[in-house]
Amino acid sequence: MLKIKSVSKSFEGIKAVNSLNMILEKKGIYGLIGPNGSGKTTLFNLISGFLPIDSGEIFYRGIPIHEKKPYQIYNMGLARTFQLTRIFPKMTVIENMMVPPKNQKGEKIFNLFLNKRKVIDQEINIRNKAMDLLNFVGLFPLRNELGKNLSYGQQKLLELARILMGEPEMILLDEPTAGVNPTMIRNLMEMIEKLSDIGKSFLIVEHNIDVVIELCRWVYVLDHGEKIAEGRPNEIKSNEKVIEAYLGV
Amino acid sequence: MDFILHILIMISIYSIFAMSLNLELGYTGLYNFGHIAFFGIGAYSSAILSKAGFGFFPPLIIGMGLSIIASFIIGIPALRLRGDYFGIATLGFGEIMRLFFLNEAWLTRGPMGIPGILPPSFFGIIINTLPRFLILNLIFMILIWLFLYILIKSPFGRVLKAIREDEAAALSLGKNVYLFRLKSLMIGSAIAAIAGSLWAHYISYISPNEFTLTETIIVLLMVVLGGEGTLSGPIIGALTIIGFQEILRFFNLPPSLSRYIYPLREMVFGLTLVLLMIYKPQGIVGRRKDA
Repeated sequence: MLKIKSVSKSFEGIKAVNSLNMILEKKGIYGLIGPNGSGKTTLFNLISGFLPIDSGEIFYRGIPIHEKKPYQIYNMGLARTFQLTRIFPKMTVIENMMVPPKNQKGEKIFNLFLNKRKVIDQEINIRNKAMDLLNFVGLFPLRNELGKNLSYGQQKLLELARILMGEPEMILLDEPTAGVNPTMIRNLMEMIEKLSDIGKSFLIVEHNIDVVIELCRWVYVLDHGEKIAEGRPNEIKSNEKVIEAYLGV
Repeated sequence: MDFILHILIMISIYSIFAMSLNLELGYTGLYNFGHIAFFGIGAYSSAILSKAGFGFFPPLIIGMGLSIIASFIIGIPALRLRGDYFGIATLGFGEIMRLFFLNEAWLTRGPMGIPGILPPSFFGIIINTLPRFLILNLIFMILIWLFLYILIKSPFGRVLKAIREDEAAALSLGKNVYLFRLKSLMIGSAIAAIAGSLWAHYISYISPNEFTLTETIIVLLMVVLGGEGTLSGPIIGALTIIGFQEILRFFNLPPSLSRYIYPLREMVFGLTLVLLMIYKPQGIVGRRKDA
């Protein structure tokens, strides 16, 4: 699905990502771990088009995406979240949900005045879909609340539900459980598993090692912008290089 | 009575002008400090073309068209800049247009300005009395309000608000932020041109001095004071500021004092803007949940 081919990125001479290769062939949940500053978030920014790559290639379902803009990449079915949630604070939960769907007729000014029926029909569909997804993540009762009035954990759930509105095939999650209470983490993990069951793939940056071990079928480990190991979660746990990188010995 | 009508007419024109800036500032998060330029393009188009015998509507539409083209040309490079830098670029554009009005005397009569702009006339109606001007302006104001209402409540408006709230998030959710901003700028500029056109016809004399940064600041204050990102805010803002300006006339101040009043007024505006930004950024109306 996602193929990263000798991708490099430097910031003022410091190599944040260094000729990295990763191939996520099958559907499933993949983990991406590494100490702070190992280049995980940079890699997300490169894949999602927020940063240009210095060299290399990135393919999503066989199509090169490293020269595409972030909005084009999302519309191709590859979505991402941010480390710190980025919901729209002064819009209601339901409004937040209704932004992403692509090809909205009402986004064209012409249609607003001359194709009203179609715009309204589509709005009803989008709203219903948003309600369903809010139900799925348990935010339905808060649908008319402003985004900023949600707790941090709820904002994380909203962010997840919101990217699902665009029906992505693959989702990059940047620390989904950071700052979230244990009960909510449990909920979140169950949701990710359910979504995986219906065919969504995930690449998850996560510091909570228990979450990684339980969720992921395959884990990549980065250190100083280089991939130092990959494998099944349990193998990774006992890998010497990984322990070294984390403990700094 | 005439005085009150005059105030109401000014309020209606400035309401339209403020609504156009509100689309850009309040709903899209664009700090356009050169907004007066588009008002000026509308005013000059109407002044020049209506004097050349093209009536009311054709010059109005041409003014809107020119305004859209100008905003497209300035928007393409300027919208690549972020926040404050966009503000500075548009500030520059506003000054360029003022200098254009001042120096291209073959077209604009330069510093002498254009006097004797005819009252609007169409379908055999001549708008040459104050009540008629007021009715015409109110019709425009209501139509533009409705247009903006539909726009803001639509998926299009939703994307604009999303961009205002968090540009990166909107981008990550598949929205072409650049294109939406450009559209917002073009629509806002077209509406500003309508306000300019109505104003030129009403005042009947325009000169480059009327299209300075001060005017942008005043309309900015209207938007912020009334409540940016609300549909009725700009109207409340225009009402308050124009009302404040005109009330000053009621005080029978000695000439020795009144020459201090004008600069003082601008200081009051500046101070109000700063205080509002700090203490009450939501304005008078405030941003309701559904706005």
